[in-house]
Amino acid sequence: MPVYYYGTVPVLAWIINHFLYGGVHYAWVAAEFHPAATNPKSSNPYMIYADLYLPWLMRDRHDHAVKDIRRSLAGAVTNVANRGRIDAVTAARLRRICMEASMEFFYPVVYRVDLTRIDQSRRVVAGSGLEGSREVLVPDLREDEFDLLFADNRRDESFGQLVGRDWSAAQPMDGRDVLGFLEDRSAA
Amino acid sequence: MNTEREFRILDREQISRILEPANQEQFEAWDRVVSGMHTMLKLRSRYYPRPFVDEAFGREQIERGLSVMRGTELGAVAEQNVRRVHEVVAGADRGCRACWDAVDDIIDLMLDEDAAMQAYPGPPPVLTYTTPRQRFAPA
Repeated sequence: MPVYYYGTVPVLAWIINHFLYGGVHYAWVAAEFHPAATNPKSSNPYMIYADLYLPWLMRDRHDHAVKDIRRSLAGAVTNVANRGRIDAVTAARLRRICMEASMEFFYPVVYRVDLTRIDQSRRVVAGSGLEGSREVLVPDLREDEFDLLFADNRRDESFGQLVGRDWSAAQPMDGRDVLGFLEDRSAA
Repeated sequence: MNTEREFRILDREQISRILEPANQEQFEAWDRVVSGMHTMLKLRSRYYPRPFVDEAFGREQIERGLSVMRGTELGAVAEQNVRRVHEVVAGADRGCRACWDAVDDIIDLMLDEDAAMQAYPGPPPVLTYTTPRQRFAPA
């Protein structure tokens, strides 16, 4: 019997993890999609979804939630570079992308993870999880270990090109192609 | 607890100085310290989602940034801010409710500073949005 946990991220996070970090995702997941009784807003996937959806819809670059996520993603790039997983030039380009990427890349998507498939040793309890919030961090989630939900964005052409694409029938894109693609759509 | 008032963000004159090309190293160090504090705070935030890095990374970023800034005018501001963040984080970990509030107050301030730096030399953006906290506050 699966035990599903859920996490919400902007699609930019999925894109970076998928194309630049070898398909390894750093994912916070909560015990329900809307765990209102146990989790604060900061670890409630439904609330995070709502926080991202409105600025994405309104293309509001000044929204605090978006600015906050930009800084988080840029910090993660520094961390990945410090560990030698990407080179310094790629890191500099990626940091800039995180701070300036078009609002279309803040469309929220949801990871659904069957926690029974994740070994206990790979689950980290931190943050409000230590205070009773039902959330865990899986820092090395592989793509065969989660379903990507709400991936039905028909508004943004870029979403279809990078995420909702039938890759079996398409020319594959590598990290460099994707960096250029994202840079072309930065500060837009 | 007056942490929100005690945590200082850069004013316009300081932003102008730190963004000068000659001060690139100071700017990068400041950004490192802010990034590290942001990580530590977000692990305790009730309103902003969890970071994509761990606390050890946040602490390391702070130390690396401060090691460059110590002895400068902005270094003193950065060190004061780091002390406040450590105080707030320790309080939040003890379950202090005012500290939980202060965590999100400080994140809001940091994001305002980010907005002002990105807008410079133009004026800080006139913000029409609500913060995530305001958006979900009980009526």
